[in-house]
Amino acid sequence: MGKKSVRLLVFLAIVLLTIAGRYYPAVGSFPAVASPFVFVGSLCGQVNAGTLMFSAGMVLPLLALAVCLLYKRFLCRYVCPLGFCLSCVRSCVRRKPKSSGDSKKSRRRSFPKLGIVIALTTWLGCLISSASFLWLDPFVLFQSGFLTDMTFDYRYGTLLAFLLFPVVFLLVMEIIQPAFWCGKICPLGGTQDLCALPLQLTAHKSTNNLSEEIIKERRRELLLTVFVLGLPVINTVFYSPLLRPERKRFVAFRPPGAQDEPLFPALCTRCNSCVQHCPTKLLQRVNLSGGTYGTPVAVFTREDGTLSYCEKECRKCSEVCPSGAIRNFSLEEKERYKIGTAVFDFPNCLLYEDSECTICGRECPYEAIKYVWSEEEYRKVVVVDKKICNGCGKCAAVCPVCKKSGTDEKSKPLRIVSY
Amino acid sequence: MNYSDLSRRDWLKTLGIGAVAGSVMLNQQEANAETNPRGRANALAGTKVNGLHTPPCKLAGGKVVRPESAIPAISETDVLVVGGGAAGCAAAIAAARAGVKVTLVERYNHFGGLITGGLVLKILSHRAKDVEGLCARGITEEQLDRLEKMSYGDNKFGYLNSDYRNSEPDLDAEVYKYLLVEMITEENIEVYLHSWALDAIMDGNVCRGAVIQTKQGAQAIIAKQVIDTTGDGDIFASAGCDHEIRIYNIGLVHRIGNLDKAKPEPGAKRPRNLGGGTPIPGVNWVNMAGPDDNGVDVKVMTRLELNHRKQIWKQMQEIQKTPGYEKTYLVETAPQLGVRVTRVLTAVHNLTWEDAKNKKKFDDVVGIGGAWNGEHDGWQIPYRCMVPVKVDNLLTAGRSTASEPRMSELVRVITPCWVTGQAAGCAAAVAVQKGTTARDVPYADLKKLLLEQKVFLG
Ligand SMILES: Cc1cc2nc3c(=O)[nH]c(=O)nc-3n(C[C@H](O)[C@H](O)[C@H](O)COP(=O)(O)OP(=O)(O)OC[C@H]3O[C@@H](n4cnc5c(N)ncnc54)[C@H](O)[C@@H]3O)c2cc1C
Ligand code: SF4
Ligand code: SF4
Ligand code: SF4
Repeated sequence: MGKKSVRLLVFLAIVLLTIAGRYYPAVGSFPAVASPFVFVGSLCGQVNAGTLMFSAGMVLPLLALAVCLLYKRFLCRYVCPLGFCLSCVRSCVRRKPKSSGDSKKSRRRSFPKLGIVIALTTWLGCLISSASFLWLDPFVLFQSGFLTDMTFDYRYGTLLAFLLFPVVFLLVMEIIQPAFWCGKICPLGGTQDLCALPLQLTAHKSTNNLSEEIIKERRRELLLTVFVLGLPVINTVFYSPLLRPERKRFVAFRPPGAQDEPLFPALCTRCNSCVQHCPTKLLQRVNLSGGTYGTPVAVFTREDGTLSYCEKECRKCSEVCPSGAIRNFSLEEKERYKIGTAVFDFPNCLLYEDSECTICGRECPYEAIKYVWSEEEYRKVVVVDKKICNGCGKCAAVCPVCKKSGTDEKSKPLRIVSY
Repeated sequence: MNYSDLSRRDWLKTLGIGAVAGSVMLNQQEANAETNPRGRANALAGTKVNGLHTPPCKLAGGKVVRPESAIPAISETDVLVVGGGAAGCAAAIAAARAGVKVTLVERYNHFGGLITGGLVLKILSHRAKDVEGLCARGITEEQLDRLEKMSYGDNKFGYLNSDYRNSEPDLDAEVYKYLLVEMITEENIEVYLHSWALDAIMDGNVCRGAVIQTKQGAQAIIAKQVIDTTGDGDIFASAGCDHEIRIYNIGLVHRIGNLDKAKPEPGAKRPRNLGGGTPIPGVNWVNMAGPDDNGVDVKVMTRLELNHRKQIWKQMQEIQKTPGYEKTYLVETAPQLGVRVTRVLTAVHNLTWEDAKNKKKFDDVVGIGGAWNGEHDGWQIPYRCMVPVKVDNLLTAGRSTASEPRMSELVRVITPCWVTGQAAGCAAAVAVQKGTTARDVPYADLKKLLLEQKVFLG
C-alpha cells in the first residue's frame, strides 16, 4: 500500500470518527486527544494548577511524540486531516516550476517558522493560565468545523486570530504560498519540529562555519520572529491573570462538572464537542479574549435574548469531554457540580404585584424554590435554597418575566450568578 | 358494582322517615304551588304560609348532638351537581345537554363561584403551545365566544378585554353571572340557590344524593349520580372518600375604579397594587395571593378575611396618596374569600407533574389541560382523576380534582375547571343512560358524547 492510500485511509477514518462523534460522543473527541501539542499544553496547565491528572488517553499523544522523534513530521505526513486537505489543494493548483527566483525563495524561507514559537508561547501561556493558542491545533480546528460555529464577538487579539485562520484564508494562503500553514504556522507542526530538533542539531554540526550570508539571514529571521510574535506574546501576557488579577474572578459560567479555573482552560482541548452536543445549546464557545478563548461557557441569556438552561437529566458534555476538563460525572454526582446559583429580585417578580405565578417553583428540577410568606410585603416571596440550587437556569428560562426581559438582566426576577 | 336502584319510597324508608316525610313532601308541593313561574308569590304581602325549620340540637352529657330526625326530600333527579362554580355549571350544562335530568345546588345567590364571587377575572390555561386554536373547546370555547359577542348598548369595549384566541382575557363578573343564568336556564336545569350542601346521602358505598341546608332547615335531594364541584370537596369528604386537605394560599380580591381619571406625574413611578385591567373602563381588578393556610377552617377564614380587608384598605390609601391618583377608589372587595386549594380527592389516578411534563397519554382522556399562559404544551386529563377510589356514583371536578401539590397550579385555574366539569357532567349522564356506576362508564360512550359536545381530546 502506497503512502497516498495510507493517508487517504487515515483521513477517512478521522472524518468518520468526527461524524460518528456526533452520534457516539465517546469516539468524537478522539483525534484532539491524540495531538501532542494539546497534550503538552494540557500538561503545562496542570502543572500551573498544581494537579496532574493521568489518563489512558495520554498513551496516544505520547506514542505520537515518540514516533515524531524518529520520523520527522510523521503526523503531518500520515495523520493530520488538515494537512491532508491542504496537500490536496496544493496538488490541484498546479504551478509551473519556477525559474529559481532566488530572492523570493529566500524571502519565503526567511519568513519565520511561527509554528514552533506559537507552540512554545501557548505552553508558556498554559503555565501562567493563559492557553491562548491551544485552539490552533489542526485536529481541534478540523473537529470544530474550523470554528464555524463560533458566535460573532471577536475582540482585541482574538479579532486578528479570527481574521487570519478560517478555512478560506487557509486555502487562499495555500494557493499563494504552498505549505504556508504546515510549514510556518501550524503549532502541531512546530511541536513536531521541536521533537526533531535533536536530529537536526546533530546534522548541523557537520557544517562547520556558517557563511556570513547565512548569519545575516538568521539575524533577519530573528528580528521578524520577534516582530511577528510580539502580538501573541502581548496578547498572552496582557490577558494573563498575572497582570490582571481581576480576570481570575471568572465572569462566565462553566459547564457542569467543570474543573475550577485555571485548570479548566488548561485542560480543555477546545475541541468543541460539548458545545456541539449540548441539547439545550447552553454551552457556547467563548470569544472572550485571552486565556479562555475557544473554551466552552454556559450562556444563560443568548445575544438574541432567548434563554437557555442545563437539563437535569443530561450529562452529555461530561460524556463527550475528552480531556477531563469537564469531569465524567454521573447524574447523582451532577447535583454536586453546580454551575452557579439563582438569585431573586422581588420587585421584578409577578408576585410583587400579587399575580398568580409559581412557575419557577414548579419547574425547578431540584425543588430549590420555596414561596415564603412575608408579613411586611403581605405576600409570598420566592426564596431560593442556595444549598440545593444547582444554578441550572431552568427557573429563569421558564419565568414569564425573564422571558420577556431578554438581555435586560436588570429587569429579571431570577438571574444566575457565580456561587 | 351496581348502584341500588331504589324508588323514592324505598329511599324515604331507608332514611327512616316514612309517612312523616310523605306529609312533609306534600307540604312542600303546596308551598311550591303558591309561587308562579316569574318567581313572585301570588298571595298578598302578609299572608301566612306554611314552612319548615330545623329541629333543635340537644346538649347531652356536655356534648352537642343532632337528634335523629326525618329529612324531607325536595327533589329526585338523575344528576345532582353540588356547587355552581366554573366546574359545576359546566358539569350541569353538559349533563343536561346529554338528555338527563339535572339539579344544580349553589350556596350563594349567583353562579360562577370564585370567578364571579371571588372576582377572579383572568382566564388562564385555555391555550397550549402544541395545540392550534384553543386546547379547551366544548363549553369553554362556547362561553368565551358568547362572552365576546355580548354587547351592551353601544359599549364596544367587549366583555372580554382581549382576544382570547391569542391571550389570557379578563372578563366582567356581572356579565359572566348573567351568561351563566342564560346558559343554565336554556337547558332547563333544576336550580337551588341559597342552598348549602351539608352531607352526602350514602347507601353502602354508593352516593345517592345530598342534604342541603336552607332557610327552612335540612332538605334532601336524591340522585342517581352526584358530582361534587364545591371546590372544597364538601360532599366527597362527607361521603367518606379518601382525600387530602391541603394548605394553600388564601387571598381576597378587590376592584379599584377611576383609574382612567388618574393623571400620573410625568416620569413618576406607577404606584404598586394597581392590578390589571377589566372590561370596564377605568376599573382594575387586584389579585391577592395571601398566606398559606387551611381554607376550610372557619377560624382561619375569618382571621384572613379581617386581615385582608385591612391590607386592601392600606394598599388603597397608598394609591390615593400618590400624586395624580387621588380620585381612584375602592369599588368593591370580593364577596367571597379567595380559597384556592383545600380538599383534593384521592382518585383512581392522581395527576402528577411528571404526567403533564412528559405529556403522558391516558386511555381515558377526557380533555386537555393548557399552559398557564399558553407557553408550554398541553397535557391530558384522564377520567380516572375524578373518580374516587372506593365510593361509587360520586365524581369530582374543578379545583378538587385529584392531583399532586405540584400540579395544583395547573389543575385549579379556570379553564381546567371548565374542562373537568364538562367531562364529569358527560360521564354522569352516560352512567345514568347506560345504568352503570360512574366508575364503570364505558369510555367509548363517554368519548362519543364528549366529541359530540366538541370537547378537544388531542
Ligand atoms: C384569589 C384567586 C386568584 C385566582 N386567580 C386566577 C387567575 O388569575 N386565573 C385563573 O384561571 N384562575 C385563577 N384562580 C383559580 C380559579 O379561579 C379557581 O380555582 C376556579 O375558578 C375554581 O372553580 P371551581 O368550580 O372548581 O370552584 P369554585 O369556583 O370554588 O366553585 C365552587 C362553587 O361551589 C359553591 N359551594 C361550595 N361549597 C358549597 C356547598 N357546601 N354547598 C353548595 N355550594 C357550595 C361555591 O359557592 C361555588 O360557587 C384564582 C383563585 C383565587 C382564589
Ligand atoms: S449537562 Fe447541561 S451543559 Fe452539559 S450538555 Fe447537558 S444540558 Fe448542556
Ligand atoms: S432555583 Fe433555578 S437555577 Fe437553581 S436549581 Fe432551581 S431551576 Fe436551577
Ligand atoms: S416564574 Fe418568575 S414571575 Fe413567576 S414566581 Fe417565579 S420569579 Fe416570579
